[in-house]
Amino acid sequence: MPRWSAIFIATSFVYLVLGSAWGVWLLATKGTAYMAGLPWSLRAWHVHAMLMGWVTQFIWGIGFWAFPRFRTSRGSVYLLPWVWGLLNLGLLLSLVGTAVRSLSLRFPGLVLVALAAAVFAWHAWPRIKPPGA
Amino acid sequence: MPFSTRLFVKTSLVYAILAAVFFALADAASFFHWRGFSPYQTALHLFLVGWVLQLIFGIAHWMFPKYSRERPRGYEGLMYFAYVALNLGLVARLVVEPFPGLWLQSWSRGLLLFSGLAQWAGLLAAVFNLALRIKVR
Repeated sequence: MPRWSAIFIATSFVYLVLGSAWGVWLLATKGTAYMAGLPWSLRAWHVHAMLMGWVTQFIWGIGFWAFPRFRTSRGSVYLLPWVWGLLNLGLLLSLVGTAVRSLSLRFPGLVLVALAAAVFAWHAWPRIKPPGA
Repeated sequence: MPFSTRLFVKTSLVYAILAAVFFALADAASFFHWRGFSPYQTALHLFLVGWVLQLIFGIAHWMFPKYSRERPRGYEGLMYFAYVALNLGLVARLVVEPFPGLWLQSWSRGLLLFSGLAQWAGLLAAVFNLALRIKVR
């Protein structure tokens, strides 16, 4: 697989392991007073880690590998470090913002995640094409 | 397609049906104000763990680069362990999670903890085996 696919897939596995460990804790404390006092953002980070850090990042890694190429080129490969950087910086900021309960860290983090999605779409759009195009 | 992939993919299809049924039940529970029955989070996890995660594990185990000539798909035993642990964990949460009245009973607390740990152990095993096969060409 190409280097950027390997990087995206390996990073997605890190989020899968960490995000699901947090999910185990949420499941084990279900219905308790501890859980009732937990801010929504701490529960939401499980959702961000699993949906964006794991599933989306994994799919982007596979997409970069498997989408149709232009002869031998995978198109605007230079965008991939930006996608990876924006996504993971965004998720990290949202995690830190969640831990210290700071919306001014968490919100920009989620905006960076949205930007990463836009940059990946910019890369992938021209590669979604009929055979030979 | 290897046997373990067929297991993961066929089971994931069953969970897709189950998740859709649970989403419908969650809608009905909300509409008819059924007390003591709250299946929405269970439906989400049947969808994301039972359907999406198992489908991904099955297909990745089939398609990822070979680990070695002797062990092309890495350690198959880890994938069978992952399959059993993930599904035991999912069934355990299915018994307790939709019924909030049970959550604070000691047997159900134990079952919820078992469910979480079993699912986590299962995905750790699969991730370990698949991570070995991430190779840059």
